[in-house]
Amino acid sequence: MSGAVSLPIRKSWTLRVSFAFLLLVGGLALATPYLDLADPDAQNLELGPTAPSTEHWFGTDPLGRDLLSRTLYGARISLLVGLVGTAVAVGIGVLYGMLAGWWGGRADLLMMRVVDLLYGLPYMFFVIVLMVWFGRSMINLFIGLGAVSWLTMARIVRGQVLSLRGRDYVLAARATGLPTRVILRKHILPNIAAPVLVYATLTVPRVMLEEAFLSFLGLGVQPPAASWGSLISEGAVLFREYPWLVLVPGAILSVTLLALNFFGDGLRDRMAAEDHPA
Amino acid sequence: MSRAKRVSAPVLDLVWDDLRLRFPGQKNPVLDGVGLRLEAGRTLGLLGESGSGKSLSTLAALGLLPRSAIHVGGTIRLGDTDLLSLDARARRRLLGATLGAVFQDPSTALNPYLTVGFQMSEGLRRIDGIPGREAREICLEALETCRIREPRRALRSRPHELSGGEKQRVLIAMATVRHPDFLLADEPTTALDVATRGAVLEVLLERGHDLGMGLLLVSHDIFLLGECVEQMAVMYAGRIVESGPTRRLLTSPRHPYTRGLLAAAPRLEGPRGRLPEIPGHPPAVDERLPGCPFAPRCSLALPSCAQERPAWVSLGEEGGFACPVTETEG
Repeated sequence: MSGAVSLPIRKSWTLRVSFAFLLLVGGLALATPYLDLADPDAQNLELGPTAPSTEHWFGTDPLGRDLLSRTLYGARISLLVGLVGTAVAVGIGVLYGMLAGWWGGRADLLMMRVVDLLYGLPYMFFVIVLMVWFGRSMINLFIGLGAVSWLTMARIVRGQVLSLRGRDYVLAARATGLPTRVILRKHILPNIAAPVLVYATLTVPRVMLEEAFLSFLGLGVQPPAASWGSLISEGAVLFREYPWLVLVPGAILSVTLLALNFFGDGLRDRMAAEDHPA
Repeated sequence: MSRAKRVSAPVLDLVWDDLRLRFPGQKNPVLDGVGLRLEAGRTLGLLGESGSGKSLSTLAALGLLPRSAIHVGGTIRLGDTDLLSLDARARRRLLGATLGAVFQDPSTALNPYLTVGFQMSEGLRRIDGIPGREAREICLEALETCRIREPRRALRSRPHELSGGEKQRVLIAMATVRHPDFLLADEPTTALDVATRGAVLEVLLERGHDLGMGLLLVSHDIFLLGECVEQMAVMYAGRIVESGPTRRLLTSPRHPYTRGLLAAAPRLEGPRGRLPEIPGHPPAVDERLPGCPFAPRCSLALPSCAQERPAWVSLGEEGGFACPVTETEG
């Protein structure tokens, strides 16, 4: 036995930098209402669109609204949609995947074919129909985006559970006479937490991007409220004349999505390193 | 403190009766008529090579067979209850409370994410509804009788903090914490260091004796079983080929396979030399002959052995065996 030899896990600067950036964005989003900002909805038609200045750091839009304030309030909505949408996706995906993997056999076959089928559908179309049908509310946005983002999660979880259910400690738990829901919750769930967490982190930017897309189409967040997506949408029309209206929220959205992806990747590498410390 | 044992009717025997199982894609049954009787409060050894169906026989009683296994025939009965036809809820009521199990590899039989105390007390808390503190005391007591040093520390630890022998003793304590009537132990010492095997086996037997449990000990080691069980059954290629009191099996085995196993096992006394091995290897499920599966390796085999399924020859109190050749030995 070699005792406690711990090889240095490669320190990942992308993980740290992206985490720091996300903390900053998250912190700003949380603190927005308490900051001394212009009212994001206050119009100043006389002022109109202005370029970034010391007065308005990010400039103003054609209605004279402060873009810094609108971007920060938009962050709250974009992040909220990303997080809640992901939570919905994780909830559905984990439950569905666990049951399919646990039941196995014909039930599993059927449930996974349903997933395959849904994969094949143009899901954005599905969300669009949903939004049009049930109205463009935030709740529907959460549900709609969550409802189309759980498929991969379900597959990941199902695969994990399939391999876990044959483990001796799961057999031992079953031999103790514990009901299935207890085994799933107490014995299986903690063991799949790591991949679920990693995948959830990677789902957040996807959901945010989808929200931006929907808002761009005018199906997402409804004015005067703004998300990054709807800001880009409003700005895009005037791109030639006032490019900062697109560039500022666009850059912030891009960098945030990048950071989320880096963070998820770094997390995955870190966990893989812990699984195989060699 | 001790928990009053359930006031119950006299405990019944656990009986495997002509159990036959098959897996899809195989033409021959993997278990081909397994008959065993585990008497209440007694010990039974199940002997066989890997692949002979020992573990499947055990798992079948627990209702933990692989999903694909097909029940072809036979029963496993506890009194009038057929364990194979129980629904999931009724089976869960039996598990842990009436039937306990210890598995082969202690390193994988404990959930790495949960503390020993949590896993051990789950059944007491969730099924028997015993409050946490009290359940903890019961677990401590069980760990102590299973000779875990510092049982309080053991309760708080996670599996990786324990040694292999400790883990298996924890698992024995865990399987018996609700005082089941029967304990099925599937090769409980095989995965352990040779040095700790004896101690673990001793704990298992002691615990079984103290709680008056019927103990099924599965092993491939004929002398290990010889030293610690009252009755023994020898399994080959999915069938029981010989069974009876341990002493009879060790001193006057009747089936050629049992004889071969005894001859092939190393002994401490007597002259050293090459051990007489049994030629060949056990057949895969679909290589099995319609007659006696041991015939191709048997030095006494007659031409008819490969075709005719040997009848069970009963020796009354002395058990029985399945060989038409040695039957005539008188």
